[in-house]
Amino acid sequence: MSDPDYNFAYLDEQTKRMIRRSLLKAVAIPGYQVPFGSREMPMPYGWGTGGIQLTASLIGLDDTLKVIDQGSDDTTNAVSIRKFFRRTTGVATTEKTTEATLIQTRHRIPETPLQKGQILIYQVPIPDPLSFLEPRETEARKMHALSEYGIMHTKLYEDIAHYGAILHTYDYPVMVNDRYVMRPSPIPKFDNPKMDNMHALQVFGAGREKRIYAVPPYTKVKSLDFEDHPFEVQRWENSCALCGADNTFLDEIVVDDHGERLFACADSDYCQTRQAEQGGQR
Amino acid sequence: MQAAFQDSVHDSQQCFRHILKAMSEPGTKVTLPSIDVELPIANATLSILLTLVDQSTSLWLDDDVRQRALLDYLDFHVGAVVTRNTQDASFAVVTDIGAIPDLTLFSVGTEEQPHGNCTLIIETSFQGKLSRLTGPGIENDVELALGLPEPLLDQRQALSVLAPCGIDMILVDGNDVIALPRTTQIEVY
Repeated sequence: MSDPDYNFAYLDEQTKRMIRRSLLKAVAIPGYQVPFGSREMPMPYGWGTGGIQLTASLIGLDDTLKVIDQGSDDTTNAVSIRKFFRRTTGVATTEKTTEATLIQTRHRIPETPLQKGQILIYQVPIPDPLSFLEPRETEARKMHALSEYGIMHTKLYEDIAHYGAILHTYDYPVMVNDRYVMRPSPIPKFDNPKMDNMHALQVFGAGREKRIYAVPPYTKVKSLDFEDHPFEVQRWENSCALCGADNTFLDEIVVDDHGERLFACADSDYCQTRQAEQGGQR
Repeated sequence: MQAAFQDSVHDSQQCFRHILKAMSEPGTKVTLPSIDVELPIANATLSILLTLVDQSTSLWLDDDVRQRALLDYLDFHVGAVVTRNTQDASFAVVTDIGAIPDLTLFSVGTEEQPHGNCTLIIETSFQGKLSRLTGPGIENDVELALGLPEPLLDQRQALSVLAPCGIDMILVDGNDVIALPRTTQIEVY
């Protein structure tokens, strides 16, 4: 049961309509940041207010919601957002990637490949990839309009000239549908290849900056690079200490006072599913 | 006054998810739940208006349906600002596809604000020549009959040089809906 003191999914219907219209535009123009009238939510900016407003405009009684924070279902942000939607909508929630129809995420893409019909909702702190290079929004907007991204390539080139490699390890800029350079929100660049031709719809919400953008399913998403410095993802010498996976994004965890370390999958559902399959106990 | 959605919160949410699916997977036909009203527009057209349009959007209607009964209904349930000027419309309803105005009369947005375009809701019947659709949202390609006249398709094709500006279309046949965002390429056999 949802809390009768609130409208279903917290937002009022007119706000949902406004967000829904913006979302349809975002889908029709992949990678373009559509401005929207972001509302104040009962939590501070930086806690995923953009993603929450998108989820609130999407969610219905038939949905099953999964919320992750850095891949994990049981970190503070994920738990509080899941609880928020359970209270305001009463819909089913899950930790299983395969069972979810909506997945709201802070900074990761699940390791389990997403399916057609699922929607991945990203929480975005800073939507414009150009904002650190060109602080004037009027100019950045013009650059997007003209597809003039020389400034971004120069930045990547300077990284290589100074340090021998492109420094972005997260929030690595991508080109969507050969038209717009887009910030994939601070997901590790390890996750970037998953965005390309994904079966699921990807939507992005930035609450403080009041922008919505989207990548439809089966859309080309290319990480920016150079012929002689091709894009590469992070690799680890270790595999997951809990499930043994050697192809996932690993968290480094300090386990005692002597600096002993352990590497484990950041995606808690993926790791636990693998452990269960192996008959191990948690 | 005839009724609108039985449960405005959940019915509009359901409709929206169907429309979103259609828009993000062009060529996928979705079926909107029917509403029990008698008005000169298709059931799905009405559902789309009830779901997306309100006092902050302007709506253009073709002459066929710009009638008192529908205007009163929309005024009461939707509150849309009905305009006679195609350039001003953020949504436009075309029920008589033979008399559709030239697409260039509708707003296509600007280079800096390509989202300022008009979304056309066009009533047709999904019959006739097959079209092959490709583009974002489509795995490889999809073939289906859209029921759009060739001059209209040519006009749409001519707009493609303006990308990312353009017109998004939502095609309606009874309760069925197929969306054609501006990024979809259409090839007619």
